[in-house]
Amino acid sequence: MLSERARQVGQAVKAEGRRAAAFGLSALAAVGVGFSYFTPAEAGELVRQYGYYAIPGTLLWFGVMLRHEMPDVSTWMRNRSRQEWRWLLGLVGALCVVAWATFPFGYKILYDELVLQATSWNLHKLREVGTMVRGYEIEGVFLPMFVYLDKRPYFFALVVSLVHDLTGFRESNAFLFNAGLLPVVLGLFYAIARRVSSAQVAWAGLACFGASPLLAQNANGAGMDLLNLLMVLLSMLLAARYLERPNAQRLSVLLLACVLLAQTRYESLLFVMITVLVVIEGWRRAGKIILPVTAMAAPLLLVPSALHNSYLSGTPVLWELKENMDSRFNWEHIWPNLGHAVNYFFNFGTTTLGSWWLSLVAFPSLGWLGCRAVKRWRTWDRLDPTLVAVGAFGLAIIANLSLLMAYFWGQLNDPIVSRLILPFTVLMGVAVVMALKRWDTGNGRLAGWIASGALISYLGWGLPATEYHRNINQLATELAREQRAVSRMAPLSRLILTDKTTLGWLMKGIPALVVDDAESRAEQIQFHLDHGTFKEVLLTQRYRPISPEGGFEMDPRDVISDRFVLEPVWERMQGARLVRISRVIEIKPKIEPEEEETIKQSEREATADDRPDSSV
Amino acid sequence: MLKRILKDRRLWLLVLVACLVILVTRVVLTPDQSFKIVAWYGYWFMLALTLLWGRSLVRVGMGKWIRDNFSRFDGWVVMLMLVCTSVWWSHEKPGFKILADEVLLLGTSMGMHFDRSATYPSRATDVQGPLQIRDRVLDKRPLLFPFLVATVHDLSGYRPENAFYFNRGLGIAFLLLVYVLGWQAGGQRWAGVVGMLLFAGLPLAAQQSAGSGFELLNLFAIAAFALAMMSYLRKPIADRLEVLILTGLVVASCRYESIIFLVPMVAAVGIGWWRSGRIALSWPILISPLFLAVWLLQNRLFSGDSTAWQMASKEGITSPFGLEYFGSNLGHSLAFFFDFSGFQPSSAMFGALGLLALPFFGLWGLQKVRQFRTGSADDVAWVLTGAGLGSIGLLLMLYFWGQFDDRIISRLSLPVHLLMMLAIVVVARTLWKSTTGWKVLAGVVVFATLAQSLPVMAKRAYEIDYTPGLEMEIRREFLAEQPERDFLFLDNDSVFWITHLLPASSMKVSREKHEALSYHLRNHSFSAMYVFQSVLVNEQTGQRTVDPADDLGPGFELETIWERKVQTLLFARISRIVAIEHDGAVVREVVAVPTATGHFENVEQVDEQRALYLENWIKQLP
Repeated sequence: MLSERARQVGQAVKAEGRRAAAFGLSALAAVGVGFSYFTPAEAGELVRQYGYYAIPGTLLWFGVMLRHEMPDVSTWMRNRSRQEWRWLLGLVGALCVVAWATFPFGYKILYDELVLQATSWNLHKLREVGTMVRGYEIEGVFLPMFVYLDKRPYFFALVVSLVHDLTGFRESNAFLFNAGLLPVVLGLFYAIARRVSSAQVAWAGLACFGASPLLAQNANGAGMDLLNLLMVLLSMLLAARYLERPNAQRLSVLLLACVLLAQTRYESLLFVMITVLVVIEGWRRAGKIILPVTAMAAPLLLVPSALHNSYLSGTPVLWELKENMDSRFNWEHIWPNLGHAVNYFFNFGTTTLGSWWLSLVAFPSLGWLGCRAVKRWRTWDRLDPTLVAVGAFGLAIIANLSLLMAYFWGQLNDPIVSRLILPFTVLMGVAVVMALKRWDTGNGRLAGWIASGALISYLGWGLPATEYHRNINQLATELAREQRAVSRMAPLSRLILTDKTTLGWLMKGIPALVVDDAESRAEQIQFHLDHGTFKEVLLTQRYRPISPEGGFEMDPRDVISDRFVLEPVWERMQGARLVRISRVIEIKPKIEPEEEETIKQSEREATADDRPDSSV
Repeated sequence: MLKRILKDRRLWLLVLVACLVILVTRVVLTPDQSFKIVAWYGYWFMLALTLLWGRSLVRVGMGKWIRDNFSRFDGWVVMLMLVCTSVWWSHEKPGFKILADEVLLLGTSMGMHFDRSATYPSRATDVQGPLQIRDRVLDKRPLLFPFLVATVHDLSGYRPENAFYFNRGLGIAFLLLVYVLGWQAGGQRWAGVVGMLLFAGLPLAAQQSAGSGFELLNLFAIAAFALAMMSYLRKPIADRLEVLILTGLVVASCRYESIIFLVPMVAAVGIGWWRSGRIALSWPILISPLFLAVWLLQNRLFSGDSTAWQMASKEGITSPFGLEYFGSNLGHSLAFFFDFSGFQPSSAMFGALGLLALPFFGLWGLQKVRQFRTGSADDVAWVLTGAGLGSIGLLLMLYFWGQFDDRIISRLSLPVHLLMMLAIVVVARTLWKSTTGWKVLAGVVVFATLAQSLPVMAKRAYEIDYTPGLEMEIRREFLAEQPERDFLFLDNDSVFWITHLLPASSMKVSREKHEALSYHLRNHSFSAMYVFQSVLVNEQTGQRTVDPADDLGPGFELETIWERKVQTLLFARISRIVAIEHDGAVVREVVAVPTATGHFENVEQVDEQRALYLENWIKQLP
């Protein structure tokens, strides 16, 4: 039996000998170039300079290949009854409208979303993968003066930059782009669910998956998580189609989707391994090796990702580690993180964006599916292609979740971390669909109750949580208030010295520097004030209360050199801190060390002279 | 039939559930426990009721009925409805029409939206980002309207204006429902058109569709109740009974006195069983008495708190209801219906036709009562609906404050208007069978609308002399001009500011929290502290004095920044607190607080002090 299988593999390889060799070479070259040949700095520089062109090329290729799938999509759409369409569009429309209306468009996760926004700015204007730190208007053009390569994969930023290319740069493009992704995500989930179940059951699954405040939050921000979710769903669907009928066309489009998915989020590189497994399973099902040109090129298309990863691995400063940490992952994080996860999944309050109803119905369903998988593992090779695809991608999703549990910042009930659970909710939704398919007796009554429960829990619990999270990001609120305060001042050319990220100002075309850099650049600031480049320099700082009764002192992290003479122009309470904007009215000349010593000496002498005679 | 009733176990179960509900809500629970239950579970009761009601409407095939009966004529009616509501909206601006009812209802919807508590906020802060309601009060008003507005907040994000939008939508739905009611009661579509035109020409209806009160919802529910009763009596089956009972409960959750409709509802159920010869009950009906629990618990506010009846509003009142008020109230009602000055939101034609039709409707009703076993099911439904509406009218005539020509009370005449519309349509039906008669009547109503109602709506004299409404408009105007909403307001209508997501406090509390206010002024907690006051002008001397109720007392130095005339001899003033004197120390408003140095050695100390300060800061909120 085994020798027979080996013989078949041998024959298959022989049949595709040249192509297999080409693929092997391409894979070796990709690994070598991506991970070994360049130093992290060189890898980063390569991505920064040339990374832009890799993704649009892949995207274009993907678009061309996807076009061949359109007849099947049209057939699928035609085969849906009018009633099914009515119910589907009603649910998707309602979920989208509620999501768009309840969360205001704006930055949900700082600093991530601003960095992506800034990267898209750079890609749009300079075709350079990078994030500006300083930027100024030079000869009427706002240009970055210092750009660094960020750790975040840049597929999202690139797609947003394409939107900028077509419509002009606007911060809101990122929000609108994400808003537009939401119905596509819901539609893709339904398409997957519909492949394995009836319309009623798929509809119920969609209600469980889509009636989620977390999804709504991500549909109104500028983050990359919804695009990641979309790519996961799309890849799952394409994988299912490929396994259903393995051929070169379907494999090509799957591989290109996988390449794009790998560049959507850091951990999405894991899906590459899964796609490889799916490809091999497809070959097994087809009884031959299928190696189109895309397959040979795919490893090379992943080189930018590999280079980016090399750069990130070799640049610890980008890991955002807390003090006294030298690794991002550790066993000791697992137990506390699991506690936070339980709190997230079964929270009936407003402080997390999870859906307890989905957890309540999905975990038993997942458990049941797990038991079934253990019992029937021998028959996996005859399983429905969609289930194999979802199962395979599920492995990667679970691996990601496991990694997250070992991550130092993997607390799911933290508003910044919650979004990372989105891919897992796909698995939960599909598990509900599978369980309903098994337990719903055919009249759709159980599916109806489950869907009603999802919608009622969304209304009763999810939407108050949405309201709670509308204004939870104090940093974004603070930045927005400062920007509104400045926008109400006289229209002048200004430099902002900020205690937060400069990106929020730079994205509005206002030059900005962080407070920490102010002293080292004091001479330059003075020069440009003297030459009229800036008519005004404003400084944002926080003052912290010094006792329960009040009184404020500058936050030690916001202290600026006393060379800068300040005049307060605006302040307001933000949380328990006072946020103040001051105008720099003078920058005192730098005092050389010797001169400083002389001044100190004369001060000491003056103090001694003032003493009463009796003390002499 | 009586035997069947006695033998039916499900019926006894229903009676048992009802008895238990009454026993628990009125005897077992203390008033305090009752209020807590309403506050924390009121939202969920309303949600369950609304969902069950919606489910019953779907099951009974309401959608199919509309699809099957919709004709081209109805398309024209929809167009007419759009014209009517456009006229309403062009004259009536969205705003708070009746105070403090509407602001409190909005406040309760806010409480439901933010933390599912059926209470309105009396203290709130957003110092930590999300709004936190620190103190809350259970209102006496039934919860369905705030629940529905809270659902609008849920689905579209919180906006105080949602209450206005909701009522506008309800105005559209109400006119359509009145059309269907008129059509069914009058026997042909033109009767429905007459009914719709009668309400379209009523300035009071226009006013209510632009406010945030619960009157229009009440009226809508009563109209739906009448149709549900008609549907059930036509074919007394379990599904239709479910719709009737749940609609009755919906009506009872709209306004205090609408609970009266449960009496005609029970009568209709009995008649239905009698006529069909069988008792039809489903599980939603068996649990339906549970939904009365909220009303029964909340109503204890009236028995425990005499101020709930607002008897202090009128001098010399010792009892809320009495025969002695009847004659006077009747006179006020006539003054309301036949006002031609424009100071009442009434329609003389509606009043005249209604008062003319009412006696005939009464006689017709008495005749139909005798034939309740064999008579037309529709006629029984109209009689029972008329009886319910008539009871409400009668109750209002016995109420010490039942004067329809009073600015605050005129809205209570809406059910009486519905009764009159029903009477007009039913009586007219007996007078003519042809369409021509209805067309002529519709023409007369349109003429009356053009001749009287539209000028009344255009003048809006009935609003222009309503001081609380005008003052509220001034508040809204002030708020709209503020670029940032980061100030504190001291105002006796503090709930208004809180519903607009601003910290606020009443004058009484502010006077008591004098020291706390100086704390916040010293620490620049708010960009400004404003005071809203009514200023009275002496008609002899012209001297201006602050209304004593709005006086902050000594120790506050104010600077007037905004003043608007409300009406003759009355101004509304908004001032800024520039200094507060407390215990001999004067704290002045500053552009920037003085800062200290040398207190922090590390970041941990910053966090520690922050927590302590925040705790005290919240305690010091007025």
